[in-house]
Amino acid sequence: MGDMRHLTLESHLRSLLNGLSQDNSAGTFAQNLLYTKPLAVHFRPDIESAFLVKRNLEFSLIFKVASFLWLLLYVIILTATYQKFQYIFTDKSYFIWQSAFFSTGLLIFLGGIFAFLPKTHHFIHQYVVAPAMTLLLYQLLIGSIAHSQHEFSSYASYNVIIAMIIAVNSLRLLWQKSLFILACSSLMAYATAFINNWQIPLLPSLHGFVLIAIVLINIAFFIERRERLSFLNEILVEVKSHELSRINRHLITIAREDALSGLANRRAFDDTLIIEWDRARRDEQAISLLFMDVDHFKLYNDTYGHSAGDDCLRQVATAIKKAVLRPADLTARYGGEEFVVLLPATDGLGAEEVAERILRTVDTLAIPHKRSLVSYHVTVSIGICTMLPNDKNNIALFIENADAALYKAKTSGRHCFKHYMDPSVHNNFHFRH
Amino acid sequence: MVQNTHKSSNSSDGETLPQLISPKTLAYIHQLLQDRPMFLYFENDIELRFYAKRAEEYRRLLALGKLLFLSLYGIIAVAAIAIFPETVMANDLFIFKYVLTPIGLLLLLVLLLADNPLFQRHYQWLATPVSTLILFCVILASISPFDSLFSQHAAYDVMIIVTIISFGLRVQFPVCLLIVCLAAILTILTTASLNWKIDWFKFAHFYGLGSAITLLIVALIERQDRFAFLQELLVAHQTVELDRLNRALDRMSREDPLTALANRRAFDDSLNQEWERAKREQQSIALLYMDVDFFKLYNDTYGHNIGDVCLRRVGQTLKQALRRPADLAARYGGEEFVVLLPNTNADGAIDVAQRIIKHIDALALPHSRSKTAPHVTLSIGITFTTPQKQSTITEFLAKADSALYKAKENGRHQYQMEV
Repeated sequence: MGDMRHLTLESHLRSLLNGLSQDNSAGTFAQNLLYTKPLAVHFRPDIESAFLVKRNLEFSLIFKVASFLWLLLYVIILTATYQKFQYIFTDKSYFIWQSAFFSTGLLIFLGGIFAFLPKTHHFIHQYVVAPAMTLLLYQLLIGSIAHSQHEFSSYASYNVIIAMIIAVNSLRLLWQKSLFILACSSLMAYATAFINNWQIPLLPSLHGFVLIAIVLINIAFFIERRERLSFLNEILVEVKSHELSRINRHLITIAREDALSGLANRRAFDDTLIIEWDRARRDEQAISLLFMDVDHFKLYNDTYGHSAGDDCLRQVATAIKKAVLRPADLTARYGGEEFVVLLPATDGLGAEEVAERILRTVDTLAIPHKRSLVSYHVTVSIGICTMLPNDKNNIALFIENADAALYKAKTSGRHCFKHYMDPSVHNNFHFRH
Repeated sequence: MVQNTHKSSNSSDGETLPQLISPKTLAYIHQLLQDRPMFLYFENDIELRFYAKRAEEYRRLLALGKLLFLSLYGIIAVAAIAIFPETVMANDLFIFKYVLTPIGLLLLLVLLLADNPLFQRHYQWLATPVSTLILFCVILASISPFDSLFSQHAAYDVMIIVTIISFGLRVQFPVCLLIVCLAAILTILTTASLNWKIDWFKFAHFYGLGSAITLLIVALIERQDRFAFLQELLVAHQTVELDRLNRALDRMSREDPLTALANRRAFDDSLNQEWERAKREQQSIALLYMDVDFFKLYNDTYGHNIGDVCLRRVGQTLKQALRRPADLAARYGGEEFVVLLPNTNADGAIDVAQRIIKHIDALALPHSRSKTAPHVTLSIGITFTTPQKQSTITEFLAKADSALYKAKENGRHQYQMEV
C-alpha cells in the first residue's frame, strides 16, 4: 500500500499484470474458472487486488466526464424543480428538500474539484465514494418520504431511483458495496422517519425502492460476474503473451545453438561469418579462422562407444570455449567432430596465441584415448587462416585455406596447428609454426 | 517410431483449430486495445462475432430467466389487481385489456419462441418489438388518467423495465435507444388518439431523464464489453499460436535440421521404446548402421556446402526407401545414419539394405575421389536380434558398428551382417 502513492494507477495495474503474466498458476487458475464458469466468480488474493486496481483505474478515467454529467443532471433537476415548485426553495418548512439539494450540489462540486486531482482518485474511490453516496441517497430518501403527500414527493422518488441507478451501475463499485450503500441509506432513512414520526408510505417504498433495489443489485451482480470473467481473459492474454515471447526466444536460441555442445551451430556460424567478413573488409582489418577437429575421433567412438564420444565432444567444446577469451570471438561446432573459432580483428600472432591456448586446454582435459596414434589422451589439430578481406579473396577461400592448413596439421603428425597467412596480410605467404 | 505429441497427423500444424484470425484483423484488435477509442462498432467480421456472442448470452439469459421474468410479471400484475382493483377495471377494463394482458401474452410469446434457432441467431429481431410493446404498455399505465397513485407505481415499473431492457437483455446500445424512442412515439400517438391529458413534465422526468441516464450508462458498459470481447479473441488466437509453436519446438528438438530426419535424441528414444517392445513381444528388431564412404574426401573435393547437399539427399533417399510406418531413419552423427526396423528379421533387414544401396547408387552423386565408385556410396552394417533379458542396447549398437566396420574393411559400398 505504501508504494502505491508513488505509482499512477495505470502503472500499478501494469506492474501487477506483469507479475501475473509470469505466474503460470495464475494462467491455470484463470483457465479453470473460465471453464467452470461458476455463479460466484471468486478470485484468489493477487488477482482480486489487480481487479480492484483495475476498477479504481476505470473510475479514475471516467471521473472527470462523470462529474460533468452529474453537474448537468443536477442543474437540469434543480432548474426544473425551481420552475415548477419555486416555493420549496424559499419556504422554511421544506428545509429537508433544501438541504438535500444543497448537500447534493456540494458533493457534486467537491467531486468536480477532485476529478482534476488524479492522485486523490484511488483514495476517493476506495473510501469516499461509498459514504458520500450513502449520505446522498439518504438525503433523497428522507426527501421523498418527508412530505409524502406533497406533489413533489413523487418527483423526489424518481430522483431516488435515478440516484440508485447511478450509484449501482456507474461508480465501478463491487456489487456488495452497492448493496451496502442501498441498505445503509434506507435504514438510516427509516430510522430518521421513525424518530420524527413521519408516516412512511409503505407501498411506494416497497415498490419504488425495495423492488428496484433488488432488480438493480441483481443486474449489478451479473454485470460484475461478466466483468470478472473477462478480467480472467485479460490475465490469460498476459500469461500467454509472455509464454509466446519466451518460446519465440527459445526457438531462436535453438535455431542457433548446437544441442550437443551448447556452442553456436553451423548456421549461426555461417551467418556470423558473413557479418564479420564484411566488417573486416570495411574496417580493413585482418580476420582469422581456426578450423579444428578431434584427432582419431572415429577410433575414439569405436573404442569407447558413442555416448562416451558425445561426452568427449562436449568436454572438448567447453575447453575450446574456455580458451577463446574475447566476447567478439565466436566458437561453433562445424560438423561431427569439427569445430571452428572465428577471430575478428585478429592478426596472425593473435590467432596463433589462441590456437596454442586451445591445444593446451584440451590437453589439460586429459581424456584418455588409448587408441590414439598421437598421444594417450584426446588431442585436436588446428588449421589457421588469417586474411584481410579484399577484392582478391572471399569467404570460400577463407574456409578452404583454413581447411588446407588443418590438413597440413594432420599430415604433419596431428596435435599441432598450421597457419596459412594470406598474401593480403603479409607480402609473402607462408606456413608458420 | 517418431512419436507425435499431437494428433494432427493429416493437417499441418495449427490449422485444425476452429477460427483463425487474419493478421490484418489481429493488428486491428491490438490497435483498438491500445488506443481505446470512444467507439461502439467493430469493422469486418468482428462485429458479427460480437453479435453472435450477445445472441448466445441472450439465449442463456432467457433459459435461466424465464422463471424470473414470469414471477416479476406475476407479482406486479397480482399486486396491481389486488391493490388497485378499480383502476384496473376502470374505463371498461382498459388497464386489464390493454396493459396486463398484452404484456403477459408478449412474455409468453418470447418464452415460446426462445428455443427457435432462427430467433436465437437474430435475437434482436425478437427482443426489439417485444420489448417496445411491453414498454409501451407499461408507459400507457403510467400516464393513464385513472388514479395518480396507480400511475406513480406504473412509473416505477417503467423505470424497472427500461433498466431490465438496457442492462439485462444484452441488446446493443443503438437498439436500446430505438426501443426507448419507439415506445415514446407510440405513447404520444396513442394518447393523442385517446385524448388523454398527460403530465408531460412528470413523464419527461421519470421516462426522459431516467432513460437518458440509463442509456448513457449502457453505452459505457457496452464499450467495456467490446474491449473485453477483443481480449477474448486475442486469447483464442494466442492459444492457437502457442499450440503451433510448442509443436514446432517439439519437432525441432527431435529433428535434424539438415536432413529433416529424426535426430540422435529422437532415435535414442525410439530405440529404447522399440527395444522394450521387442523384448516384451519377443520379436526380432533390426538395425542398419551406415555412413557415406569417403565423406571427408567428398567435403574436401566439393566443399562443405555440397557436402551438406549430399547428406540431405542421402537422408531423403533413406526415408523413401522405408516402407512401413514403424521404420525409422535418423541421422546419427556427421555422415552417419541409422535405420531402425522393428519387427524385422534378417531377411527383412537385408532387403532394406539392398534397397537403400540401390537407391543411393541410383542418385549417382558424382564423387571423383571415391575409391569404390565414381559416385557417392554407402557402407551398411546390419544387425538383428530378439532381445532377451540380459541383452543390452549397447551390445546391439556395438554389433551394428562392428558390421559396418566389416563392410568398410571388405571394400565399402556393401552391407555386412553381424549377429
